[in-house]
Amino acid sequence: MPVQDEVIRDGESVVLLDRQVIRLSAIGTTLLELTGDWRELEELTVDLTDRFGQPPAGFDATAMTEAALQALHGQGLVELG
Amino acid sequence: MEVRVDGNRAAEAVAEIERVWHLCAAPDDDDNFDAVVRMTFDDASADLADIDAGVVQGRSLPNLMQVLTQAVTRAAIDAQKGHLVMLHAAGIQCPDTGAVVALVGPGGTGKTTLIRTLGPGKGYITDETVAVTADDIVLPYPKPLSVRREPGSMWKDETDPLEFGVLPPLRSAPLAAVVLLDRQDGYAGPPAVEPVDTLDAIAALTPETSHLPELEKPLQRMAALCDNVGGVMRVTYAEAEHLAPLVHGWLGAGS
Repeated sequence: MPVQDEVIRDGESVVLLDRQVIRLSAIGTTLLELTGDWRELEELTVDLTDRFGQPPAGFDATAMTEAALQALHGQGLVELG
Repeated sequence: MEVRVDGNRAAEAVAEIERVWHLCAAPDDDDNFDAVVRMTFDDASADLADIDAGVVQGRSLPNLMQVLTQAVTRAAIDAQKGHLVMLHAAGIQCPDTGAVVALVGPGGTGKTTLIRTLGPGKGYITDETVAVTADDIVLPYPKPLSVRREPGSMWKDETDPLEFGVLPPLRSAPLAAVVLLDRQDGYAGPPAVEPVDTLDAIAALTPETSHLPELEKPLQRMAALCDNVGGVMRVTYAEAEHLAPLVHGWLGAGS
């Protein structure tokens, strides 16, 4: 979803969407950057772990990526197919 | 901004407007008005205030003056959308350098109280909206101070700011500091000041602005504003008077 404006500092960001300002973590900022086009969950998971490393033991990287996407979706920032 | 007054008691209303709004008076030769508010003060008028339309009428002058302030503020803010950053803030000015501190807080924070408490001897910019140009210059809006008639009352009396010992604003008014107000009734101890990361500052300031999305690249504009004042601070406090030494420092830091 196109944001109207954004400011990125040290990998984190604020974005403007439909008059709402949303503060994004580094993972949220990266995911938004990576989802300009339709992407597969597995591809995004690989991209995220390349940048941020594997999650701690006991956490599943794909599930964490999906949860982050759901959070962005809840804020209206990405579409899920 | 022009206020047009009619009704059988219009002369009284005009005199009262000139008395309490004199710090906002346009130069005599200025007839380029970007907004108009219409006021009717008449013994036969029913009380009516359409703030969106900029129309107020009634037969009680104090009540009419209060809604006039709301209508003028709304019209002025709407007229400047897309041009200025407009922060819900009290603005206090150094009488020597013109530097301005914007004390940002939502309605109910006590911005008028801040002006009455901290403003004497300093320039009065506004108790409502600090409007900032693209060059980070503040345009004063020294409206009357709206003073509650009695505790808990919804009605306020519009009062000449100079009655509280503040000074008329200087024309040159560079923005020197932006401070987020966090007033907590139960807070004890001296005020606590903390720097706010620029991204967090933008997120915190945005709800306390008017018409921000109408600006070109609004978030980048806010980031530049935050950076140009050396970063935003948040102050946690209980009583306005406790902020006096801090305001003194913020104004000095901008000189």
